[in-house]
Amino acid sequence: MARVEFRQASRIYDPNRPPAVNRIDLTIDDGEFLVLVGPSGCGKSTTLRMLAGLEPVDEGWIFIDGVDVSEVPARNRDTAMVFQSYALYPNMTARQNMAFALENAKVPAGIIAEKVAAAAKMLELEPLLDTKPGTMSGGQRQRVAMGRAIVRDPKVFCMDEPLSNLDAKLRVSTRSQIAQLQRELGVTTVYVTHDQTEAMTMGDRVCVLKDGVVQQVDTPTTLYEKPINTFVAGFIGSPAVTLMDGITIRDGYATLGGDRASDLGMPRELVGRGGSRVTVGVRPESWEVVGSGAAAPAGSVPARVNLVEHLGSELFLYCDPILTDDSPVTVRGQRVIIREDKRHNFQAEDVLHIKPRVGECTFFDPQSEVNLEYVA
Amino acid sequence: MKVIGYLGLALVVAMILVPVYFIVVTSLKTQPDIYSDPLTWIPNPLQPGNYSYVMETVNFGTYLRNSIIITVILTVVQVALGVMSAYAFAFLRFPFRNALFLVVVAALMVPNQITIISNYALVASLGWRNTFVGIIVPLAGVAFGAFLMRNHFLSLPKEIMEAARMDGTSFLRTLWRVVLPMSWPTVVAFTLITLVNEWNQYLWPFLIADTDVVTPLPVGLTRLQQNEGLTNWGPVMAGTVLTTVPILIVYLILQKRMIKGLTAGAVKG
Repeated sequence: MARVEFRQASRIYDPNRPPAVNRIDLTIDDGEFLVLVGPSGCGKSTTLRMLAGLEPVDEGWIFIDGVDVSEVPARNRDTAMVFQSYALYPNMTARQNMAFALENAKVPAGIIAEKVAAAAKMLELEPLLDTKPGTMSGGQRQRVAMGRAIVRDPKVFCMDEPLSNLDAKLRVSTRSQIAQLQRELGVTTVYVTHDQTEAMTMGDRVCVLKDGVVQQVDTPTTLYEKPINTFVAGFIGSPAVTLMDGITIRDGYATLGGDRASDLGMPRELVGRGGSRVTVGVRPESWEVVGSGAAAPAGSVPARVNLVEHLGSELFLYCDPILTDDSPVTVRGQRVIIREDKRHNFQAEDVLHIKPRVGECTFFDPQSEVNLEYVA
Repeated sequence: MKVIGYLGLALVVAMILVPVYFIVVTSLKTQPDIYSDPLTWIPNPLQPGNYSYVMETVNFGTYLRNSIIITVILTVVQVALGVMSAYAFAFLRFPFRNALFLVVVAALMVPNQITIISNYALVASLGWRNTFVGIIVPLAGVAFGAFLMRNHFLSLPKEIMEAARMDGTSFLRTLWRVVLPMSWPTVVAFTLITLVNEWNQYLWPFLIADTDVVTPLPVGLTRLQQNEGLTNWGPVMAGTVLTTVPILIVYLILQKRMIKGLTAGAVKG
């Protein structure tokens, strides 16, 4: 049971290059499940390892339960780690693997046996207790690694992409098991992943990192609905959001084509916060197909379907927007992704007329790329 | 193409086995038979008496005892020192670690013939001639072992070491419970190389041992050779065979333990 606090914590490998982790300020409440997410090399694993004590804190502090642990060696921090590769001791059985830390701490044998038995029951590891990791499947090894962390009753669980070596189906089931287990145990957990589905489904809160800098820490829904900047908007959500630059604000309205028919429903209080132009983000489900073929309904944008992705219950249309040459609007990546119901029939090469649903767009400052809602 | 490959293999095997075969058959030949022209491939008549001759003429028992003492002590010391220094070089952070390791590796590049005269002067001045200490101490350097084991330790999965750190394992306990169990094949290989190497030590014991008291087998064999002006090769070869047999047995026992795959299941992918 512990509250974890990063205060201006940095990890600097090379003074001549940007820090791997740059002045992180982050508070994780007692019992909270916090997910660190970001692209490769964003410093999420380094941040976790700093908390575990496997990487030094070069600047700033890390507190566990109000105690400064920045200089405390890993073994005295009372944190347990689940490694991506599991890192089980190959010469020991599952039972010995789990008991090892307690033996090191000179816990009486009776208590060790009790704790190992309890963890094994929780993780359904009982039949495997006397097996060595070499003969176990990936999922079983993963559970032993979890068990090794659980028996220690640590203040904090540190999990470094523990599911990334499992196959897709097992990953989904283990995902919910871990989340449920964490809730039962109520241990503060920091979980690193690059998989945004894991981030969205598991965490109480999610922290998005980019280049060692915290972008946004909030609940998964807030991250999705109100991303703080275009990076978070682009990173959270799959398929990705469509970002359009150069949308002009005229007479207090942000419009796609210049006329009132293509109004994007920009809230009035935001209009004053930006300049004359804004960047607009539209999620795949916020696009509406209003027509197809030659007839263009007012205020819509034509787009040619490039690829149709059928996912069973829904489908995603990857389209090229057809913009007039004099239009100030540009679409990032030259691609618009639309989510549609399976009942509609679309083919590649179809020309569709699409329109963002009013009230579902996000507006960013074109220079700072920050969501205008967060601009004071 | 395949035929040529097998011929090459056969040639190499022959190059190794034919001399060994001749040592064995010569040890069973009579003196005239050894010098017969053309040479004979099968001893005629059979002369097992060469072996008893060796036993009777020289202090074979003493040589064997000395060889065992020297080899066992040297191997234990070298393996212990090699593993521990390698562990320190691999995982302990201390100033000038890499420079020191370079010095150790550099020691590998100095032929020991170069140091023999100064070593002899030192050992003699310490009054260690004709003692086991005099033979053992200068041979107990472990540059090779430290080098071999360190590189092996560095190849172990990093996460396991980190897991041990997280589990609060002390530095020495990590060596015993985590590192060594994953390293037995390399340790056994290192032990075996050391055993054979020390068993076959010739020049240094030859210089230090003037009397039979501390003479090991390889040096003792030369005493056999010089016994009667003209060398009687039958007994010399018999002695050679007898010298080879113990280390051959040890090798056969140990090589089975040099199995790979002790890290299986430790880390995925």
